[in-house]
Amino acid sequence: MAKTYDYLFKLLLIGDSGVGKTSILFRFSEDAFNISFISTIGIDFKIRTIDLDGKKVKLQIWDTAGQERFRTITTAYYRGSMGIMLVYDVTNEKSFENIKNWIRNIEENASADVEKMILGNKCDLEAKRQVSKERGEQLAVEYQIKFIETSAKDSLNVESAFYTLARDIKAKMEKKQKEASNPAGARSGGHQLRNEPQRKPTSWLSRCSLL
Amino acid sequence: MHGRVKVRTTEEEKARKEKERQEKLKIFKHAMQKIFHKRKESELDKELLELTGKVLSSNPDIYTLWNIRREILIIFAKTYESEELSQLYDAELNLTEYCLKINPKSYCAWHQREWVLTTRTDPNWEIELGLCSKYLKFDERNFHTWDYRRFVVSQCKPPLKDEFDFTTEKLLDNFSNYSAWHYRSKMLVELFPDLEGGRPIEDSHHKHELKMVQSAAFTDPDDTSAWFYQRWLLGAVRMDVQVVVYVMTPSKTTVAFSKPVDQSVVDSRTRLFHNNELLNGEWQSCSGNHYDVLWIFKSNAVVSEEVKLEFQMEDGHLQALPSIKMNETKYVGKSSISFKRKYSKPVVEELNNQLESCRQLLAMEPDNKWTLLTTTVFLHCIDAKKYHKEVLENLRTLKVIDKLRAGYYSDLITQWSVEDQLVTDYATDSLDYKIKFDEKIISLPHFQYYSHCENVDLSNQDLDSSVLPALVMLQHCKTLSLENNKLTTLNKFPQLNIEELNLRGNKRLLVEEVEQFKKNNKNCTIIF
Amino acid sequence: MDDDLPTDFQVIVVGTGMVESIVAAACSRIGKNVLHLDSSDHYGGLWASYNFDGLQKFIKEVNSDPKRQLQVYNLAEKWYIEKASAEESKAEGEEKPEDGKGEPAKKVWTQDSFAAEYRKFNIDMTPKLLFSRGPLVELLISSNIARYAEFRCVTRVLTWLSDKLMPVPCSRADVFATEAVGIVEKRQLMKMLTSIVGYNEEEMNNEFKDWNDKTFKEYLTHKGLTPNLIHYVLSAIAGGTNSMPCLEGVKECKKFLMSLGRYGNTPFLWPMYGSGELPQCFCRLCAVFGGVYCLNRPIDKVQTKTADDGKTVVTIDSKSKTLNCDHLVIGINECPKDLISPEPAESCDISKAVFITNGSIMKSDKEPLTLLRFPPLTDEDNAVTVLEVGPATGSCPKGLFVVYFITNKVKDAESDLMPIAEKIFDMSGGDQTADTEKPKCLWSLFYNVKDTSAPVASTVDSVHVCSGPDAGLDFDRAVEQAEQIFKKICPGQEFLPRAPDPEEIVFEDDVTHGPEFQREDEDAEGDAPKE
Repeated sequence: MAKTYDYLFKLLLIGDSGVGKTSILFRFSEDAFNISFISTIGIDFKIRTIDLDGKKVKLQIWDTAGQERFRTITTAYYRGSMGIMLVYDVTNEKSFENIKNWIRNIEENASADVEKMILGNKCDLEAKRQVSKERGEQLAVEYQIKFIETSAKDSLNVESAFYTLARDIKAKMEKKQKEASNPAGARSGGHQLRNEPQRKPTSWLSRCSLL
Repeated sequence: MHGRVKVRTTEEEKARKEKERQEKLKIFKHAMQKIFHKRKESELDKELLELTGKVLSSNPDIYTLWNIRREILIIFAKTYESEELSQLYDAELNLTEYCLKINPKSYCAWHQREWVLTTRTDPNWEIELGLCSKYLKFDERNFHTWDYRRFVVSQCKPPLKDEFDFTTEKLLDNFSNYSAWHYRSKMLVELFPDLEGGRPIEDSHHKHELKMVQSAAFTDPDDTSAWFYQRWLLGAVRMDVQVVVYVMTPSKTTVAFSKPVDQSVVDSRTRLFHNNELLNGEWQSCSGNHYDVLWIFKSNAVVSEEVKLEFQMEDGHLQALPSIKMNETKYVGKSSISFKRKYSKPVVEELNNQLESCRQLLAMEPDNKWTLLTTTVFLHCIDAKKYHKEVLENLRTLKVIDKLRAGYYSDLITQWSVEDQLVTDYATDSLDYKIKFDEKIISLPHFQYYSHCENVDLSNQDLDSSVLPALVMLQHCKTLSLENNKLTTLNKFPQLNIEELNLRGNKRLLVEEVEQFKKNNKNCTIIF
Repeated sequence: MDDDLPTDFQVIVVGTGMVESIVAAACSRIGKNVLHLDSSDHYGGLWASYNFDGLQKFIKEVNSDPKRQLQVYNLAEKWYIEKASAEESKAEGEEKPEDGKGEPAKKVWTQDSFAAEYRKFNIDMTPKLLFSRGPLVELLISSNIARYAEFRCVTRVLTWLSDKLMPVPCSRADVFATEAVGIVEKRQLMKMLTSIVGYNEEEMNNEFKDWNDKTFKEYLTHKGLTPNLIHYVLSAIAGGTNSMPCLEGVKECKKFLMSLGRYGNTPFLWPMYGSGELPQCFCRLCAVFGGVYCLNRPIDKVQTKTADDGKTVVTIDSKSKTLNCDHLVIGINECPKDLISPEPAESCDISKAVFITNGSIMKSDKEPLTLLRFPPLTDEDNAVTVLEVGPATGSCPKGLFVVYFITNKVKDAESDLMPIAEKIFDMSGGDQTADTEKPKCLWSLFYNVKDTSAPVASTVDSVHVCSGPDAGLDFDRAVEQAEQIFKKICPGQEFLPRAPDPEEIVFEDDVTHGPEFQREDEDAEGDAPKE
């Protein structure tokens, strides 16, 4: 059960149905694109470990499991997340307008210092575009969030978007660690349950007998 | 398709894993080849550093690769600027930390870390101490980490009290921890010595530790780490080295000490006088070691009158020991001896309290071996003379109910019985030694105390050949009986000037060997 | 938007309580087509956790529209602090000095400052613990649902003994460390506990063959335990009272002891952000496997009809839409009365209370997470379960603690629980900065809940009614019931088999993969370096 990374970041993808969240996830984690991922059945999260300034950073990127469809994302989904990709579809005006609602949702449920980023996806479909890049930028300025247009299909900016978000989280985290007086005991969240206990079973009966 | 997620079958998964493994193995082999090639060509450069790092980060225990890295870093240290060097050392520490995550018990990784910190000019020991605490949180019994922690502490010297408290914290989490108890014992004598009483540990702390360890022992009697610490605490008493007996004859002069002493101690602090005149001579240990309990004085002096010995004790006191003329040429000086443990009054009170608890428990579970053993040890420690009978009785019971440790109990019986008899024997001027108790002894504890004896009767015991080297203490012995013991060989029998040796009744001793022994010791009458 | 909602499902689940959510997940996991609805706008029903704002809405709803929350009654909310402090309305910079050196002065809380930090509260309607080796923990792990939740270990178990709070030595480390019991008692206690854990079935039958109709207390007394030890074992470890039958006491002790040493110093885990997270974790799994979710969707009418092939179809009218399914799983509080047959006869309602305080009931170096089993004060009373959780659990802002009381109702929540509150809290209001021995209670809520935990049969075979929360400490009964319902709907199918990890999943038309070994993907374990 060796932990072979320096940092583990939990990231979320959020946005209306059909904006391409799963495609972005697959482009980044598998370097694959498949037009037939209509729904997101069975996909929970994907993992990719990246190298940032010599540190191994494990990114655990969670998909919405379709619960965005009727606005029924569980509060549990937001727990412990450190970064959120807000995704809209540049060919879908409504999905762009809804970003504000999603931000409100995040403020309600996620931790206050979560890093956010807005992605305008499907920018390869220039002909069908309904939301200009400028409007995206403007919204980003309004909320003081970073913004980038992506195309999961053409593999445009997906990589750099995740690297940017991860780098921002890492910087924030290291700053916090520096401020905290005890670097070793940086406060963690709760325990995740595993089959094998994290510690060896120091049951109250455990002991060593040598005599 | 609803809800049906395709998962690789076990077969597919196995094949995929195998393929992956093969692929990785290939890469691994390739990398190792390249590494050794480069090393052969003396290409100790950054590329090699990178290559070895990659292999190590998944195989932290290939120590050759760590060696290579050290070679490289030593070369770099000669030419690189200090800032760049510092970065390289930091990277090395990062790598070891990463490797220790994979295997927290990696000797090489811990060693490499130690090397980096002692090599670089700007080590940060506080970070290291934090690292130790972190790793001990994962596994509070990892002795690698404890060892490393002691190393770090020796370098950065944090307040010892903090370290002491750290062991307390770890023991409260889990007291089955030899490393923590051991570390604690080391600090205890440094932090809280009893300066006034000259004892190793100051009263209140001694009491506190005894309480703590008894709590552990009774919470889980089957945990042995606590017992070890308890024994150590009970043994932490003032024990002054003194001369117990010396013998001067024209042919040989010997001095026996209560504990082994160093050559220099004997040379500088032991003086023999004849008619108040200091005798000149040389000291030799009887076994030829630098550290021994019995020493031989080589001198040309011929003594015919009053002989005296002076020994400068550790605490500055002078032990002056006059002698008694045993016969025309033999002078013997014996000190008064006691095996009573010199606890302070408060500690004795605490021991009596604990004894009381033990007795209560024993009334509830009379067959509990742990309770019985602890009771017995307390009895012996509090007043060996007074409780001698009860102690022996308990040990005999323990031999029956705890067969696994019967040997250990026999040892205790031998030792404590011998001690008991010694005190009586020393009150007389006899030159004879004979076991006067019923228990059969299996070893020869405190045997130097009998170095003055001429007639030693060790018959009818359970001694085997492993005790023979100890007979070297019998420098003045004339008749020795080992009749009816369990000797199997005379191989280790020391050179002695014995006139009569009785070996009868050692059934497994070979006739041939005894014959050979006779030939080699013509001056001795051997009865077999 | 709701118009997108498909109308035909194999299973429709109404209500997002614990039992309903587990059933939904289990059905979806094995491929059933599941729709999961709830009449309110949040998950959990009676099992929900609320932030402070949500809680206020809930209270308002119960008080103004009792029909919507039939299960809850006798609800009384009380403040012990000012609405707003005079200075604070001026001084905007209400952020306290973050972790400054030393102990910062105690913050003075007002109703307004609660409201300002409302999001940091997660207050449970049904606070419960998990036994580290209990059925829910095992289910979470075996089903891989554990990855959706985080837990904190309960750090201590307290009891009320000789009119004060006392820590209960319940693990080997505790017994070693405690100064509350003598050395002889330590041995006795460890011996008793070790033997209870160690007995196999045969030894158990042997040891207890004459104890069938006797109490646990009699057994402990017989074994020579001191009154203190009897109190610890009976009241704190077994969670029983003087009348607890011997065999039940042994069983409860064993359950407690078997869960020790897995995750922390006590046998218990507390879900981060409250018990209300747990149903959501099961919902997430249901959704991952294709379950459709719709909240704020009350149902109006449930009927059954026989389809052409003779199968019974359950039809549900909801917002002028008719939904069809083979099986309806419905929470008891959402269930139309005519579907229940017959109404559960006798039941004992539950008295509950929530307190928000400005300190722990017993000071401790690190933030504590406490289970206190308060023994009955008089013979008529019941034992009270007290749970105290702090900021580290995500239950409240820094500086506060949330304390839950749960007991079986005798009179009403306030009369049942107030006497105990007064023993461990300072209920007098007043100066919050004063260094009082007991923590100040800043806010309290008392209420009774109807006991809906007994299993209920429905009048229709393909309708399955899920019970509400019980007064017990753990979730074991909910898990058990969910599995029973699942077995009825999907006979012969595995209950929540392990969900695959993402890397195990293959996709139908796997396309354009990048080169396999280029990336540092350390998740695939291996013994060779990566290029």
